[in-house]
Amino acid sequence: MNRFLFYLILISMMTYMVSTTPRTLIQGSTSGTVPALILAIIAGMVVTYIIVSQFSHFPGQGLPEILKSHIPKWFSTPLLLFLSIVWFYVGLSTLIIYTFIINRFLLPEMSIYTIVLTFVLVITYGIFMTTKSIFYMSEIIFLIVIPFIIFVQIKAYFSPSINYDYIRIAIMQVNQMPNYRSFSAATFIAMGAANLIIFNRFFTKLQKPTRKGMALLTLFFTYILLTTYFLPMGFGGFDALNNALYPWITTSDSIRMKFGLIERVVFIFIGAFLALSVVTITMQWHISMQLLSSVIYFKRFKWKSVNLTLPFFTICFWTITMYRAKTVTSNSLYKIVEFFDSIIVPITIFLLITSLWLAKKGAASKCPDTKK
Amino acid sequence: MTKKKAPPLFNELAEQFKPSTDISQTHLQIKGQYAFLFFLKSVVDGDRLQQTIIKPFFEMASEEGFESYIQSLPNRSDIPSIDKLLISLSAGNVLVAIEDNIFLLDIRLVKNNEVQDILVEPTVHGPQKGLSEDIEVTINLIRQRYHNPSLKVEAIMKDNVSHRGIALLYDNDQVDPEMLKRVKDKLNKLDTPLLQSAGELQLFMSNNKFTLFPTTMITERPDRIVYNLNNGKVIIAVDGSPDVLIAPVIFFDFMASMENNYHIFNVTIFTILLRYVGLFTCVLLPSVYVAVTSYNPDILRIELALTIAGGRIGVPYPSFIEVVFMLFFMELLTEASMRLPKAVSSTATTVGGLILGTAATEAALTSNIMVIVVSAVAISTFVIPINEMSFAVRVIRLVLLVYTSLFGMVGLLVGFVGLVMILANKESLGVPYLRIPWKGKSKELRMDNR
Repeated sequence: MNRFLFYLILISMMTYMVSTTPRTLIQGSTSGTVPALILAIIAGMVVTYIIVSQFSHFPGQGLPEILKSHIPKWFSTPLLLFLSIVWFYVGLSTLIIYTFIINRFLLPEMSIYTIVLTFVLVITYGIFMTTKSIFYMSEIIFLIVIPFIIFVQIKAYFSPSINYDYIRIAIMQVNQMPNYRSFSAATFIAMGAANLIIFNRFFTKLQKPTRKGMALLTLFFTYILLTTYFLPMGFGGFDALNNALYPWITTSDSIRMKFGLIERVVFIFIGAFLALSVVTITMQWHISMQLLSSVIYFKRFKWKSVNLTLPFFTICFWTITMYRAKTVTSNSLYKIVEFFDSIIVPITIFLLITSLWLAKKGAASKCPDTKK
Repeated sequence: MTKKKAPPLFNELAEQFKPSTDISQTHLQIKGQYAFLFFLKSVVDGDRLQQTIIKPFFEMASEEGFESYIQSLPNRSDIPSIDKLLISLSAGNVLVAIEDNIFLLDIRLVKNNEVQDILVEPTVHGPQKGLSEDIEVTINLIRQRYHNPSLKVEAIMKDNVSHRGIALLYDNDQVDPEMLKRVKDKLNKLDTPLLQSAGELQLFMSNNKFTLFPTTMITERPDRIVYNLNNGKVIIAVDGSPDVLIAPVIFFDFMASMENNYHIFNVTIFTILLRYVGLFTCVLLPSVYVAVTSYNPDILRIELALTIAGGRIGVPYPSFIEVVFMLFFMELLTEASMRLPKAVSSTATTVGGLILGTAATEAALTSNIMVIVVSAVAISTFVIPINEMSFAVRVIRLVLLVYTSLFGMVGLLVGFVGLVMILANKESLGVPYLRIPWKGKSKELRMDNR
């Protein structure tokens, strides 16, 4: 498996580790999160396997190209439009969550608009890069950031203030019916492979997932999922964390570095995840933009040989983001994301896999010689 | 005795060169044997002319003998069209007419063919002599270090005013043919009236005029050239310039010093690490100072935050202006000490660095910590081994500084990601700029043409 595929999946896993996922998981702590986690590991990996192996039949093609050649237009156009809105919305919610985190923990006196602008300026540049460049950028950021994240987690696991009894209590809740909300939230963070719908254009030689690669991914996913849920438990206690808005940040704020230049680990932590979130949002909006432009493209919308379709979409993105960031409240955002995780994401994944399956069938029936 | 006349071509050429005074149109004569010479005195090597043409003429028994002697000389070339002929005459060729035949011989006088000392990229170990200003000596130096028949040298003539010779060197077995074609296209499209050095060529080779990061590398080190040749890169040499151009390059090439290959492993690792720490320091430190003092003093541990705040007591303006002010003076100082003659530059450094620094803190124009920050930044800029990259870094950190001053700590982090984006989005002749070479370098070069 290509190393860039790992970045794709790992970065999106790590971005959601801090956002709303831990809160959803902790809210269900007495009603079946632990069995849901176990199910989510299986489900997440199965879906990843299916998506990657489906895409490996179409080397170097994104979803728009695949659908165009194998699926009737009345089906593919609304599907692509739907997917682009989904991806835009995923990026948007990530952006707003991180804006809230920054506003709450880093720059309380700065206006929401300014913080959104900080992100949007850079991300807009990122959206217009080629798919290849986004990969190289994500690789560099990942490599720069990962030592800090590992450092923070080691620091947390060996911290004297972590209480393993709380984690034991949490594990004791295993004998319950799995909770669907926790399950969907946990599965969602493994959905990085779905980004292949555009990023598959880069992989001209995407192989089927190997056994070693899948084992590694499963290991990472298990670790990230368990850390996401159990580490805040160990710091915050089994009952007390229910009211925390961002359990992970509260957790990392309880770690101190006695001899560091920076005493509170939370700043390193926020910084590292901030960089990862920028990469994720760039990826998601890049996908959304590419999907949109594959459906809607104004050929005449020109200014001096530059087609203005994409800039027009960007301005739409900006406006919606600014409007949403100001109007949405922390709680309603959380509700929306939960609804999104439990209903929209399964539908999206189902549609994606079905359309790929249909496309594969279509490809096989059109030219049976290629399959030997 | 019927005196033979010089061929009509000679008079025509003489017309063309008028009113230059350094043309020389002579004839050699002994016992009914005649030969005519036409050359420009100032560019022709008189000794060699004497040795290879004039002396043999008088020693030969017959005109035929002399003619076949001339024909067998290694520096003889065919007569080109009249325009090209004028150019080659002014480059130091000699026209010899015997009977009805005319020969063109290359007897140019080259004064600047000494090998130069390495000035820009010095190393402790490794060769201390660089290239020469004469292209043939340069090619000779490279060939001497790379005995391989697969090393190709191609001459590219450009029709511009200076008629500089440009040579393209590459290892035929290693180079990626697609990339080579791209380089050749670029060079053929090159359209400039005057081309004087590799530095100028570097500007023309980059796609975007306003690009900040160099996409080709200028070097004067023969060992670096050979190392890169072996990795499948293309070397472009310009006549009259003691530097050559290496293309394509990626970001990490600019962070590599040739000395990496000459030290033992652990020392190398240490110096590489040092260099990257220096890179991050000089890009991030000014912005960190602004972000920490103006936006988030709570990030640092309390003692440190208090020290910094205490140092800033009395400084009348926000930290952004303080940093820009100090960076500006530091850039002036760097620039001044680079351009000044050696005798004066040490005075400038002392006055600027020591006296100005101390005075500025005492006058409460900057904090003491700012002086430390600025000197740390200045020193770590010079840790970057290739000059062009450190120039680029000097500019780019100002951009980051502006972004940080506008948006604080988040601006610093997101702006840094933005910088990485800009770098990742660049490419050098089709090779992505910011790709980590996990595989061998030559394999990496070909990765895009799978």
